[in-house]
Amino acid sequence: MSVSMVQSMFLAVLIAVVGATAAMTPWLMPATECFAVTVPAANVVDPRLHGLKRRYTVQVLIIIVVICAAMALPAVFSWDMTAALAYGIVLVTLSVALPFFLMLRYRGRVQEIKRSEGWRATGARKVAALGERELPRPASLRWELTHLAAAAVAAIIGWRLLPQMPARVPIHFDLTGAANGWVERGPLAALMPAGIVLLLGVFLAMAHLAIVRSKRPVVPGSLATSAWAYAVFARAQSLVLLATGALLDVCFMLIPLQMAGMIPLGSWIALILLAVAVALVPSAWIFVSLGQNGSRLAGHMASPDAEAGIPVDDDRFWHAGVFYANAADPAVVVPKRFGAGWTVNFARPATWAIIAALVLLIAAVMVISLAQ
Amino acid sequence: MFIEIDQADSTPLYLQLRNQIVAAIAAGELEPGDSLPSVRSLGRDLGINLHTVNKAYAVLRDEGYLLIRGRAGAQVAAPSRAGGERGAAGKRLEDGLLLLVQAHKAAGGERSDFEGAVRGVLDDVYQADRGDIR
Repeated sequence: MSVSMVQSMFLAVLIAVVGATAAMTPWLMPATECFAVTVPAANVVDPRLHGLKRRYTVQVLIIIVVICAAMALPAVFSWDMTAALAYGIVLVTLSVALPFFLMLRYRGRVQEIKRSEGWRATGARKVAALGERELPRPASLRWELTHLAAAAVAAIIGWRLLPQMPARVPIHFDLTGAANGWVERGPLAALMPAGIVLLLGVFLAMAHLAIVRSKRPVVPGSLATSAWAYAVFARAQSLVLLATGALLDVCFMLIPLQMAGMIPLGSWIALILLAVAVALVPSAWIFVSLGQNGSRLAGHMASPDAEAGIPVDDDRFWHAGVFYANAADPAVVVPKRFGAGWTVNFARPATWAIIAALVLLIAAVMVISLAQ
Repeated sequence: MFIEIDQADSTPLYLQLRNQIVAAIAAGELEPGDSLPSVRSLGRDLGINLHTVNKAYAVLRDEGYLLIRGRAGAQVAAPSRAGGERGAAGKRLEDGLLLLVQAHKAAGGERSDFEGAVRGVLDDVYQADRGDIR
Protein backbone atom coordinates (compact mmCIF):
# COMPACT_ATOMS: atom_id res chain seq x y z
CA MET A 1 0.00 0.00 0.00
CA SER A 2 1.58 3.25 -1.09
CA VAL A 3 2.17 6.19 1.23
CA SER A 4 -0.33 8.25 -0.74
CA MET A 5 -3.03 5.61 -0.28
CA VAL A 6 -2.42 5.54 3.49
CA GLN A 7 -2.58 9.32 3.61
CA SER A 8 -5.78 9.36 1.55
CA MET A 9 -7.36 6.73 3.77
CA PHE A 10 -6.37 8.60 6.92
CA LEU A 11 -7.80 11.84 5.56
CA ALA A 12 -10.98 10.08 4.45
CA VAL A 13 -11.50 8.56 7.91
CA LEU A 14 -10.80 11.93 9.54
CA ILE A 15 -13.28 13.70 7.26
CA ALA A 16 -15.86 10.95 7.87
CA VAL A 17 -15.64 11.16 11.67
CA VAL A 18 -15.57 14.94 11.82
CA GLY A 19 -18.21 15.22 9.12
CA ALA A 20 -20.60 12.76 10.76
CA THR A 21 -20.28 14.67 14.02
CA ALA A 22 -20.86 17.94 12.18
CA ALA A 23 -24.00 16.50 10.57
CA MET A 24 -25.42 15.83 14.03
CA THR A 25 -24.60 19.30 15.32
CA PRO A 26 -28.12 20.80 15.16
CA TRP A 27 -29.37 18.02 17.48
CA LEU A 28 -26.52 18.45 19.93
CA MET A 29 -26.93 22.15 20.62
CA PRO A 30 -29.03 23.50 23.48
CA ALA A 31 -32.57 23.26 22.15
CA THR A 32 -33.21 26.99 22.43
CA GLU A 33 -30.35 27.70 20.02
CA CYS A 34 -31.45 26.53 16.58
CA PHE A 35 -28.77 27.14 13.94
CA ALA A 36 -27.30 29.78 16.27
CA VAL A 37 -30.62 31.62 16.53
CA THR A 38 -32.32 31.93 19.91
CA VAL A 39 -35.85 30.52 19.96
CA PRO A 40 -38.33 30.31 22.85
CA ALA A 41 -38.21 27.11 24.89
CA ALA A 42 -41.91 26.53 24.27
CA ASN A 43 -41.35 26.58 20.48
CA VAL A 44 -38.40 24.21 20.40
CA VAL A 45 -40.58 21.35 19.11
CA ASP A 46 -41.93 23.40 16.17
CA PRO A 47 -42.06 20.97 13.22
CA ARG A 48 -40.59 23.58 10.91
CA LEU A 49 -37.44 23.80 13.04
CA HIS A 50 -37.30 20.02 13.21
CA GLY A 51 -37.55 19.85 9.42
CA LEU A 52 -34.65 22.27 8.98
CA LYS A 53 -32.45 20.24 11.34
CA ARG A 54 -33.31 17.00 9.53
CA ARG A 55 -32.55 18.46 6.10
CA TYR A 56 -29.23 19.84 7.33
CA THR A 57 -28.19 16.46 8.74
CA VAL A 58 -29.08 14.56 5.55
CA GLN A 59 -27.39 17.10 3.29
CA VAL A 60 -24.17 17.20 5.32
CA LEU A 61 -24.01 13.41 5.38
CA ILE A 62 -24.38 13.31 1.57
CA ILE A 63 -21.59 15.90 1.19
CA ILE A 64 -19.29 13.91 3.48
CA VAL A 65 -19.93 10.60 1.70
CA VAL A 66 -19.21 12.19 -1.70
CA ILE A 67 -16.02 13.83 -0.44
CA CYS A 68 -14.76 10.62 1.16
CA ALA A 69 -15.39 8.72 -2.08
CA ALA A 70 -13.59 11.46 -4.00
CA MET A 71 -10.56 11.00 -1.72
CA ALA A 72 -9.86 7.76 -3.57
CA LEU A 73 -9.23 9.46 -6.92
CA PRO A 74 -5.51 10.25 -6.49
CA ALA A 75 -4.73 6.66 -5.52
CA VAL A 76 -6.93 5.10 -8.21
CA PHE A 77 -5.45 7.28 -10.97
CA SER A 78 -1.93 7.41 -9.51
CA TRP A 79 -1.61 11.17 -9.28
CA ASP A 80 1.75 12.57 -8.24
CA MET A 81 2.29 13.64 -4.63
CA THR A 82 1.95 17.40 -5.15
CA ALA A 83 -1.32 17.12 -7.07
CA ALA A 84 -2.66 14.62 -4.54
CA LEU A 85 -1.77 16.95 -1.65
CA ALA A 86 -3.39 19.97 -3.30
CA TYR A 87 -6.46 17.89 -4.10
CA GLY A 88 -6.60 16.64 -0.51
CA ILE A 89 -6.43 20.19 0.83
CA VAL A 90 -9.27 21.27 -1.48
CA LEU A 91 -11.45 18.36 -0.33
CA VAL A 92 -10.78 19.01 3.35
CA THR A 93 -11.61 22.69 2.85
CA LEU A 94 -14.87 21.75 1.12
CA SER A 95 -15.77 19.34 3.92
CA VAL A 96 -15.70 22.28 6.32
CA ALA A 97 -16.91 25.09 4.05
CA LEU A 98 -19.97 23.40 2.57
CA PRO A 99 -21.59 22.49 5.92
CA PHE A 100 -20.81 26.02 7.09
CA PHE A 101 -22.69 27.57 4.18
CA LEU A 102 -25.54 25.14 4.74
CA MET A 103 -25.68 26.28 8.37
CA LEU A 104 -25.85 29.91 7.22
CA ARG A 105 -28.72 29.14 4.90
CA TYR A 106 -30.72 27.35 7.60
CA ARG A 107 -29.88 30.07 10.08
CA GLY A 108 -31.52 32.50 7.68
CA ARG A 109 -34.64 30.33 7.56
CA VAL A 110 -34.88 30.19 11.36
CA GLN A 111 -34.50 33.97 11.50
CA GLU A 112 -37.40 34.31 9.04
CA ILE A 113 -39.58 32.03 11.15
CA LYS A 114 -38.59 33.94 14.28
CA ARG A 115 -39.51 37.26 12.67
CA SER A 116 -42.82 36.04 11.27
CA GLU A 117 -43.82 34.48 14.61
CA GLY A 118 -42.73 37.56 16.55
CA TRP A 119 -40.55 35.57 18.95
CA ARG A 120 -38.97 38.26 21.06
CA ALA A 121 -36.96 38.53 24.23
CA THR A 122 -38.96 39.34 27.36
CA GLY A 123 -35.89 40.98 28.88
CA ALA A 124 -32.14 40.61 29.03
CA ARG A 125 -31.86 38.06 31.82
CA LYS A 126 -28.59 36.43 32.66
CA VAL A 127 -27.95 33.90 35.36
CA ALA A 128 -24.79 32.78 37.15
CA ALA A 129 -24.14 30.21 39.84
CA LEU A 130 -22.79 31.51 43.15
CA GLY A 131 -22.40 28.19 44.93
CA GLU A 132 -19.56 26.88 42.82
CA ARG A 133 -18.04 24.43 45.22
CA GLU A 134 -20.84 21.90 44.67
CA LEU A 135 -20.28 21.75 40.92
CA PRO A 136 -17.64 19.61 39.16
CA ARG A 137 -14.71 21.67 37.97
CA PRO A 138 -12.44 21.36 34.93
CA ALA A 139 -9.22 19.45 35.60
CA SER A 140 -6.64 21.56 37.38
CA LEU A 141 -4.31 23.66 35.23
CA ARG A 142 -1.40 22.31 37.28
CA TRP A 143 -1.55 19.13 35.21
CA GLU A 144 -0.16 21.13 32.29
CA LEU A 145 3.14 21.25 34.18
CA THR A 146 3.68 17.59 33.23
CA HIS A 147 4.73 18.89 29.81
CA LEU A 148 7.84 20.21 31.55
CA ALA A 149 8.61 16.70 32.76
CA ALA A 150 7.91 15.28 29.30
CA ALA A 151 10.25 17.88 27.76
CA ALA A 152 12.95 16.93 30.27
CA VAL A 153 12.56 13.25 29.36
CA ALA A 154 12.70 14.09 25.65
CA ALA A 155 15.86 16.13 26.25
CA ILE A 156 17.50 13.27 28.19
CA ILE A 157 16.59 10.72 25.51
CA GLY A 158 17.85 13.10 22.83
CA TRP A 159 21.14 13.61 24.65
CA ARG A 160 21.69 9.88 25.29
CA LEU A 161 20.97 8.96 21.67
CA LEU A 162 23.03 11.79 20.19
CA PRO A 163 26.06 9.56 19.47
CA GLN A 164 23.86 7.25 17.41
CA MET A 165 22.50 10.02 15.22
CA PRO A 166 24.08 10.74 11.83
CA ALA A 167 26.47 13.71 11.56
CA ARG A 168 23.72 15.65 9.87
CA VAL A 169 20.31 14.78 11.23
CA PRO A 170 17.41 15.10 8.79
CA ILE A 171 14.58 17.16 10.26
CA HIS A 172 12.62 18.34 7.18
CA PHE A 173 11.15 15.99 4.63
CA ASP A 174 9.44 16.45 1.31
CA LEU A 175 6.27 14.69 0.26
CA THR A 176 8.01 11.50 -0.85
CA GLY A 177 9.71 11.15 2.53
CA ALA A 178 13.13 12.23 1.28
CA ALA A 179 15.04 14.56 3.58
CA ASN A 180 15.51 18.17 2.50
CA GLY A 181 16.55 19.87 5.75
CA TRP A 182 19.18 18.91 8.26
CA VAL A 183 20.63 19.99 11.56
CA GLU A 184 24.16 19.35 12.79
CA ARG A 185 24.51 16.60 15.37
CA GLY A 186 24.76 18.69 18.51
CA PRO A 187 22.77 20.39 21.30
CA LEU A 188 20.09 21.66 18.89
CA ALA A 189 19.41 18.18 17.53
CA ALA A 190 19.25 16.76 21.06
CA LEU A 191 16.92 19.49 22.33
CA MET A 192 14.63 19.85 19.32
CA PRO A 193 12.13 17.19 20.45
CA ALA A 194 11.99 18.81 23.90
CA GLY A 195 11.33 22.13 22.18
CA ILE A 196 8.42 20.62 20.27
CA VAL A 197 6.97 19.22 23.51
CA LEU A 198 7.17 22.67 25.10
CA LEU A 199 5.63 24.38 22.07
CA LEU A 200 2.74 21.92 22.03
CA GLY A 201 2.48 22.32 25.79
CA VAL A 202 1.93 26.06 25.38
CA PHE A 203 -0.96 25.53 22.97
CA LEU A 204 -2.53 22.79 25.07
CA ALA A 205 -2.21 24.88 28.21
CA MET A 206 -3.90 27.79 26.43
CA ALA A 207 -6.76 25.54 25.34
CA HIS A 208 -7.05 24.25 28.91
CA LEU A 209 -7.01 27.80 30.28
CA ALA A 210 -9.77 28.68 27.84
CA ILE A 211 -11.99 25.96 29.30
CA VAL A 212 -11.22 27.06 32.86
CA ARG A 213 -11.87 30.74 32.15
CA SER A 214 -14.89 30.35 29.90
CA LYS A 215 -18.25 31.94 30.52
CA ARG A 216 -20.37 29.27 32.21
CA PRO A 217 -23.89 29.27 30.77
CA VAL A 218 -26.92 28.74 33.01
CA VAL A 219 -30.36 28.29 31.43
CA PRO A 220 -32.99 30.43 33.23
CA GLY A 221 -35.64 27.69 32.98
CA SER A 222 -33.54 24.95 34.60
CA LEU A 223 -30.88 26.52 36.78
CA ALA A 224 -29.36 23.66 38.76
CA THR A 225 -29.60 21.08 35.97
CA SER A 226 -28.02 23.23 33.25
CA ALA A 227 -25.26 24.47 35.57
CA TRP A 228 -24.38 20.93 36.59
CA ALA A 229 -24.59 19.58 33.01
CA TYR A 230 -22.25 22.28 31.72
CA ALA A 231 -19.79 21.61 34.56
CA VAL A 232 -19.72 17.90 33.66
CA PHE A 233 -19.21 18.74 29.97
CA ALA A 234 -16.37 21.18 30.67
CA ARG A 235 -14.62 18.77 33.01
CA ALA A 236 -14.91 15.90 30.51
CA GLN A 237 -13.44 18.04 27.71
CA SER A 238 -10.58 19.17 29.94
CA LEU A 239 -9.74 15.56 30.79
CA VAL A 240 -9.72 14.59 27.10
CA LEU A 241 -7.41 17.54 26.44
CA LEU A 242 -4.99 16.33 29.12
CA ALA A 243 -5.06 12.78 27.76
CA THR A 244 -4.44 14.06 24.22
CA GLY A 245 -1.48 16.07 25.48
CA ALA A 246 -0.02 13.04 27.22
CA LEU A 247 -0.41 10.91 24.10
CA LEU A 248 1.25 13.50 21.89
CA ASP A 249 4.04 13.98 24.44
CA VAL A 250 4.82 10.25 24.22
CA CYS A 251 4.99 10.51 20.42
CA PHE A 252 7.35 13.47 20.58
CA MET A 253 9.53 11.77 23.17
CA LEU A 254 10.12 9.08 20.52
CA ILE A 255 11.50 11.56 17.97
CA PRO A 256 15.13 11.06 19.08
CA LEU A 257 14.69 7.36 18.38
CA GLN A 258 13.57 8.24 14.87
CA MET A 259 16.49 10.66 14.49
CA ALA A 260 18.90 7.91 15.55
CA GLY A 261 17.40 5.61 12.95
CA MET A 262 15.85 3.25 15.49
CA ILE A 263 12.32 3.96 14.27
CA PRO A 264 11.58 4.46 10.55
CA LEU A 265 10.11 7.87 9.71
CA GLY A 266 7.04 6.26 8.16
CA SER A 267 6.33 4.36 11.37
CA TRP A 268 6.65 7.49 13.50
CA ILE A 269 4.30 9.38 11.20
CA ALA A 270 1.81 6.52 11.37
CA LEU A 271 2.09 6.63 15.17
CA ILE A 272 1.34 10.32 15.43
CA LEU A 273 -1.55 10.06 12.97
CA LEU A 274 -2.92 7.26 15.13
CA ALA A 275 -2.50 9.41 18.24
CA VAL A 276 -4.42 12.27 16.62
CA ALA A 277 -7.19 9.92 15.54
CA VAL A 278 -7.36 8.40 19.03
CA ALA A 279 -7.51 11.86 20.54
CA LEU A 280 -10.38 12.94 18.31
CA VAL A 281 -12.67 10.05 19.18
CA PRO A 282 -13.29 10.79 22.91
CA SER A 283 -13.85 14.46 22.14
CA ALA A 284 -16.40 13.62 19.46
CA TRP A 285 -17.98 11.10 21.83
CA ILE A 286 -18.37 13.69 24.59
CA PHE A 287 -20.00 16.06 22.12
CA VAL A 288 -22.40 13.41 20.82
CA SER A 289 -23.34 11.85 24.16
CA LEU A 290 -23.35 14.90 26.43
CA GLY A 291 -24.31 17.53 23.86
CA GLN A 292 -22.86 21.01 23.65
CA ASN A 293 -22.75 22.51 27.17
CA GLY A 294 -24.06 19.16 28.42
CA SER A 295 -27.47 19.96 26.95
CA ARG A 296 -28.29 16.33 26.20
CA LEU A 297 -27.34 15.42 29.75
CA ALA A 298 -29.76 18.01 31.06
CA GLY A 299 -32.49 16.69 28.79
CA HIS A 300 -33.66 20.08 27.65
CA MET A 301 -37.15 19.60 26.39
CA ALA A 302 -40.03 22.01 26.15
CA SER A 303 -42.13 21.52 29.27
CA PRO A 304 -45.41 23.13 30.35
CA ASP A 305 -43.58 25.40 32.75
CA ALA A 306 -40.89 26.28 30.24
CA GLU A 307 -40.12 29.95 29.85
CA ALA A 308 -42.65 31.73 27.69
CA GLY A 309 -40.77 34.00 25.36
CA ILE A 310 -37.02 34.37 25.29
CA PRO A 311 -35.22 35.39 28.52
CA VAL A 312 -32.33 37.01 26.68
CA ASP A 313 -31.52 37.43 23.01
CA ASP A 314 -27.85 37.76 22.10
CA ASP A 315 -28.31 36.92 18.40
CA ARG A 316 -26.94 40.30 17.34
CA PHE A 317 -23.55 39.47 18.86
CA TRP A 318 -23.17 36.25 16.88
CA HIS A 319 -22.01 37.10 13.37
CA ALA A 320 -22.58 34.40 10.75
CA GLY A 321 -23.64 32.28 13.69
CA VAL A 322 -20.08 31.45 14.73
CA PHE A 323 -18.18 34.69 15.42
CA TYR A 324 -18.97 36.20 18.81
CA ALA A 325 -18.17 39.87 19.27
CA ASN A 326 -19.63 41.66 22.31
CA ALA A 327 -17.57 44.55 23.65
CA ALA A 328 -19.72 44.81 26.79
CA ASP A 329 -19.03 41.19 27.76
CA PRO A 330 -15.80 40.73 29.77
CA ALA A 331 -15.62 37.04 28.88
CA VAL A 332 -12.82 36.18 26.44
CA VAL A 333 -13.96 32.59 25.97
CA VAL A 334 -17.59 31.56 25.45
CA PRO A 335 -19.26 28.28 24.45
CA LYS A 336 -19.96 27.97 20.74
CA ARG A 337 -23.46 28.50 19.49
CA PHE A 338 -23.16 26.03 16.64
CA GLY A 339 -20.47 23.46 17.09
CA ALA A 340 -18.58 21.63 19.82
CA GLY A 341 -16.59 23.44 22.45
CA TRP A 342 -15.64 27.04 22.79
CA THR A 343 -14.87 30.14 20.78
CA VAL A 344 -13.52 33.59 21.61
CA ASN A 345 -15.02 37.04 22.03
CA PHE A 346 -13.49 38.95 19.14
CA ALA A 347 -14.54 42.29 20.62
CA ARG A 348 -12.08 41.97 23.53
CA PRO A 349 -8.60 43.43 23.00
CA ALA A 350 -7.23 40.60 25.15
CA THR A 351 -8.43 38.09 22.54
CA TRP A 352 -6.39 39.74 19.78
CA ALA A 353 -3.38 40.10 22.06
CA ILE A 354 -3.43 36.37 22.76
CA ILE A 355 -3.91 35.49 19.07
CA ALA A 356 -1.01 37.80 18.13
CA ALA A 357 1.23 36.25 20.79
CA LEU A 358 0.53 32.72 19.56
CA VAL A 359 1.06 33.68 15.92
CA LEU A 360 4.37 35.34 16.84
CA LEU A 361 5.41 32.21 18.73
CA ILE A 362 4.74 30.00 15.71
CA ALA A 363 6.49 32.47 13.41
CA ALA A 364 9.55 32.56 15.70
CA VAL A 365 9.76 28.79 15.77
CA MET A 366 9.45 28.60 11.99
CA VAL A 367 12.13 31.22 11.48
CA ILE A 368 14.50 29.43 13.86
CA SER A 369 13.97 26.05 12.22
CA LEU A 370 14.27 27.39 8.68
CA ALA A 371 17.52 29.12 9.59
CA GLN A 372 19.19 25.77 10.23
CA MET B 1 -27.52 29.27 44.54
CA PHE B 2 -28.06 31.42 41.51
CA ILE B 3 -27.98 35.11 40.85
CA GLU B 4 -30.07 36.57 38.06
CA ILE B 5 -29.86 40.02 36.56
CA ASP B 6 -31.99 41.67 33.90
CA GLN B 7 -30.29 44.31 31.80
CA ALA B 8 -33.69 45.40 30.49
CA ASP B 9 -34.85 46.25 34.01
CA SER B 10 -34.71 49.89 35.12
CA THR B 11 -32.98 48.98 38.41
CA PRO B 12 -29.22 49.52 38.09
CA LEU B 13 -27.33 46.23 37.68
CA TYR B 14 -25.16 46.72 40.75
CA LEU B 15 -28.31 47.17 42.84
CA GLN B 16 -29.87 44.04 41.34
CA LEU B 17 -26.73 42.11 42.36
CA ARG B 18 -26.66 43.68 45.81
CA ASN B 19 -30.34 43.01 46.47
CA GLN B 20 -30.10 39.37 45.43
CA ILE B 21 -27.04 38.69 47.55
CA VAL B 22 -28.75 40.32 50.55
CA ALA B 23 -31.84 38.21 49.85
CA ALA B 24 -29.68 35.08 49.67
CA ILE B 25 -28.06 35.88 53.00
CA ALA B 26 -31.50 36.51 54.52
CA ALA B 27 -32.79 33.19 53.18
CA GLY B 28 -29.77 31.33 54.54
CA GLU B 29 -28.62 30.31 51.05
CA LEU B 30 -25.42 32.21 51.75
CA GLU B 31 -23.95 31.76 55.20
CA PRO B 32 -21.17 33.61 57.03
CA GLY B 33 -17.85 32.34 55.69
CA ASP B 34 -19.20 31.37 52.26
CA SER B 35 -17.00 32.53 49.41
CA LEU B 36 -18.47 34.52 46.59
CA PRO B 37 -17.07 34.19 43.07
CA SER B 38 -14.30 36.58 42.10
CA VAL B 39 -15.31 39.81 40.38
CA ARG B 40 -13.86 38.55 37.11
CA SER B 41 -15.58 35.21 37.31
CA LEU B 42 -19.02 36.66 38.09
CA GLY B 43 -18.64 39.37 35.44
CA ARG B 44 -17.70 36.70 32.88
CA ASP B 45 -20.58 34.40 33.72
CA LEU B 46 -23.16 37.20 33.69
CA GLY B 47 -21.61 39.03 30.75
CA ILE B 48 -21.57 42.36 32.59
CA ASN B 49 -18.87 44.95 33.16
CA LEU B 50 -16.38 44.11 35.94
CA HIS B 51 -16.82 47.59 37.41
CA THR B 52 -20.50 46.83 37.97
CA VAL B 53 -19.71 43.68 39.93
CA ASN B 54 -16.98 45.54 41.79
CA LYS B 55 -19.41 48.25 42.75
CA ALA B 56 -21.96 45.71 44.01
CA TYR B 57 -19.29 43.99 46.13
CA ALA B 58 -18.06 47.38 47.41
CA VAL B 59 -21.57 48.44 48.41
CA LEU B 60 -22.11 45.11 50.18
CA ARG B 61 -18.79 45.50 51.98
CA ASP B 62 -19.68 49.04 53.08
CA GLU B 63 -23.04 47.83 54.32
CA GLY B 64 -21.33 45.13 56.34
CA TYR B 65 -22.59 42.07 54.44
CA LEU B 66 -19.27 41.08 52.83
CA LEU B 67 -15.62 40.91 53.78
CA ILE B 68 -13.18 41.46 50.92
CA ARG B 69 -10.08 39.45 51.64
CA GLY B 70 -7.63 40.48 48.92
CA ARG B 71 -6.53 37.41 46.96
CA ALA B 72 -9.03 35.17 48.74
CA GLY B 73 -11.87 37.23 47.31
CA ALA B 74 -15.19 38.11 48.86
CA GLN B 75 -16.71 36.26 51.78
CA VAL B 76 -20.04 36.59 53.51
CA ALA B 77 -19.50 38.40 56.81
CA ALA B 78 -20.92 37.26 60.12
CA PRO B 79 -23.80 39.57 61.02
CA SER B 80 -22.56 42.15 63.49
CA ARG B 81 -24.76 43.20 66.33
CA ALA B 82 -22.41 45.99 67.34
CA GLY B 83 -24.27 49.28 67.13
CA GLY B 84 -27.66 47.52 67.31
CA GLU B 85 -30.64 49.79 66.70
CA ARG B 86 -28.58 52.96 66.36
CA GLY B 87 -26.01 51.41 64.00
CA ALA B 88 -25.79 52.05 60.25
CA ALA B 89 -28.06 49.08 59.53
CA GLY B 90 -30.70 50.44 61.91
CA LYS B 91 -30.60 53.87 60.26
CA ARG B 92 -30.95 52.27 56.82
CA LEU B 93 -33.97 50.35 58.05
CA GLU B 94 -35.66 53.49 59.34
CA ASP B 95 -34.86 55.49 56.19
CA GLY B 96 -36.19 52.73 53.95
CA LEU B 97 -39.35 52.31 56.01
CA LEU B 98 -39.99 56.06 56.05
CA LEU B 99 -40.00 56.16 52.25
CA LEU B 100 -42.35 53.19 52.01
CA VAL B 101 -44.79 54.46 54.63
CA GLN B 102 -44.87 57.95 53.12
CA ALA B 103 -45.54 56.54 49.65
CA HIS B 104 -48.26 54.31 51.06
CA LYS B 105 -49.99 57.18 52.92
CA ALA B 106 -49.61 59.57 49.96
CA ALA B 107 -51.40 57.03 47.81
CA GLY B 108 -54.26 56.96 50.34
CA GLY B 109 -53.33 53.70 52.03
CA GLU B 110 -54.51 52.71 55.51
CA ARG B 111 -52.14 52.03 58.39
CA SER B 112 -53.65 48.57 58.96
CA ASP B 113 -53.04 47.61 55.31
CA PHE B 114 -49.39 48.51 55.67
CA GLU B 115 -49.05 46.55 58.90
CA GLY B 116 -50.66 43.54 57.21
CA ALA B 117 -48.28 43.76 54.29
CA VAL B 118 -45.30 44.02 56.65
CA ARG B 119 -46.43 40.95 58.54
CA GLY B 120 -46.83 39.00 55.30
CA VAL B 121 -43.31 39.83 54.10
CA LEU B 122 -41.81 39.11 57.53
CA ASP B 123 -43.51 35.74 57.53
CA ASP B 124 -42.11 34.94 54.06
CA VAL B 125 -38.52 35.91 54.82
CA TYR B 126 -38.18 34.60 58.36
CA GLN B 127 -39.81 31.30 57.59
CA ALA B 128 -38.20 30.77 54.18
CA ASP B 129 -36.95 27.23 53.65
CA ARG B 130 -33.14 27.22 53.77
CA GLY B 131 -32.89 24.66 51.01
CA ASP B 132 -34.74 26.63 48.36
CA ILE B 133 -32.97 27.06 45.06
CA ARG B 134 -33.79 30.39 43.51
